[in-house]
Amino acid sequence: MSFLVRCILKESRRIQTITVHQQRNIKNWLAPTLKELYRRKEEYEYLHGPIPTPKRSAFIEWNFGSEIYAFGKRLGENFDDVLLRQAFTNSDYVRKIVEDQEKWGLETSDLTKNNSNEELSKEGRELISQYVFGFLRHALKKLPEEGVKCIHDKLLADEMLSHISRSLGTKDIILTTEHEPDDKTYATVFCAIVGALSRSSNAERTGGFIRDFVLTQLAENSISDFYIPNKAWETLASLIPGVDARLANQEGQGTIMAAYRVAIFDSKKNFLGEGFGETVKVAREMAAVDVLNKVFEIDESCSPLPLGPTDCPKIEEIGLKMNNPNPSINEVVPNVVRL
Amino acid sequence: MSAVKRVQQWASFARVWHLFDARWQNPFDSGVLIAKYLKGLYKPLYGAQSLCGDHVVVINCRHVALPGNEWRKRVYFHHATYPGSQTWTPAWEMHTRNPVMVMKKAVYTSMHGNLQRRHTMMRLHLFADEEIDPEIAPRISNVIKQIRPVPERLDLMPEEKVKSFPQIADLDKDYVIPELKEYPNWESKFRKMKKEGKKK
Repeated sequence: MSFLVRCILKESRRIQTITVHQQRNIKNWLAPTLKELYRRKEEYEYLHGPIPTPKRSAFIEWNFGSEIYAFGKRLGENFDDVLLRQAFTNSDYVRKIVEDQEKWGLETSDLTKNNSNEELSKEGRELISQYVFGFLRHALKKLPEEGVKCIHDKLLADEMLSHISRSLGTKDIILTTEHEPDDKTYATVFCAIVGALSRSSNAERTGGFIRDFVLTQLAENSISDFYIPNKAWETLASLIPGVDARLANQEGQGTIMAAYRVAIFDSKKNFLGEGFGETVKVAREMAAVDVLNKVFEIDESCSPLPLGPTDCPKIEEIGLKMNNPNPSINEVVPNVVRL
Repeated sequence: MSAVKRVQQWASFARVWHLFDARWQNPFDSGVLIAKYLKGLYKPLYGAQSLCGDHVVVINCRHVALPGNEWRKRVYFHHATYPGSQTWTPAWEMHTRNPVMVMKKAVYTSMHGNLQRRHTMMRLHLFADEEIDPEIAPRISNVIKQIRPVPERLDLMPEEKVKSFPQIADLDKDYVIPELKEYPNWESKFRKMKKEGKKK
């Protein structure tokens, strides 16, 4: 071996290569730390009650203006900023501000005092009510007014509007004194948003908003889940004279798991509908409900609601139906041909 | 859940009461069939944890028909835990003591140690003869078809039917029809045949 090569080999033996491997694993200190934190939390909660989850707005990087702007844009609508802020301001929040200002001896302007969402909410609720009535009467022409009113009441219930409101993401933006807003607050805020939209935008956009968020709740379940006629058998007997209910099947008579099946026929022995129940009476009632659903065209085989962008009714068509109630259940003439 | 859906759910999971006539039937084949109805396996909505099993009422358990020499050869083992308490009871003896046990054990054994079989067996109702509990009778709404067709017995047929049956041959009036002999014990004959075979 040459002298140069021997020198290089000697030097290379002196250079020590250190290889460092980064290991990604759960550290030994992690589990004990978590256990200690959990123990401290349990101890505190035992002595002082449960720790409430903090409000999002309490964290440092909360920009209310950005949130409001983003909320409006998320819905694809052009809201007036002032009106939208007003829509989210609850009356108890305004009251608290006024109280605090009086406590500190400051003057409260009228703008602050009137900044709550009560008026907007009333406006919005009226608009939702009108549109829902108009849409239902337009889409379900054969459904009597009692049915329309029942579905309308269920759609405008606090639970339903609160559910819609929460799904839109109003939870963090609502200004209230209570730590977690309740159903009523959520519903008020949603109605106020609709009111703000109607003032910022035109009727067509407001109608579209109501259609897309309130009426689409009907699409999840069948319409007949929202409306079950009261005293169905008596109603049916008065509508279709000569209607006849017969016991088709029974199972487990005398047990708690008894099941009965009742079929309804007309005077010409045509099959109209059937129903099940844990007693004969319940079965007959549900059979009558089945027949009435077919008469009113809200059964499972009815055409879907016109909620899509192409088949939705125009605002003029809704407007026509807003103040024209459907015939009452006593005036309905059943379409026997379809049955 | 709306009322319409609740009622539909009720009807879907209603427990059906079936009737099965065990007369002339092989209990081991019948056990497999009955277990299928007890578990609810024929239902499209079957699920092992769905509690969709049905009730089966078995009548005429006394008149069950075991194949071949099962009456003599099949033994039921029992151990009462203390030493020397093991017993082997042949099927004919079990049947005389309790005419329902052969059918019951046939259904139980058909489930091969399944953990749910104790629970499934609770819906089985066995009766030795045609008489059923008067509380159970109105609940029955289906009859399970028998596996083996029940033959008509010559001695139980009406006389006119026997006499009107067409004769194979024209016999004289004095001709005496001999009585049927009892068939000899086929087992002993088989053993003889085996021994003869071995000798050869």
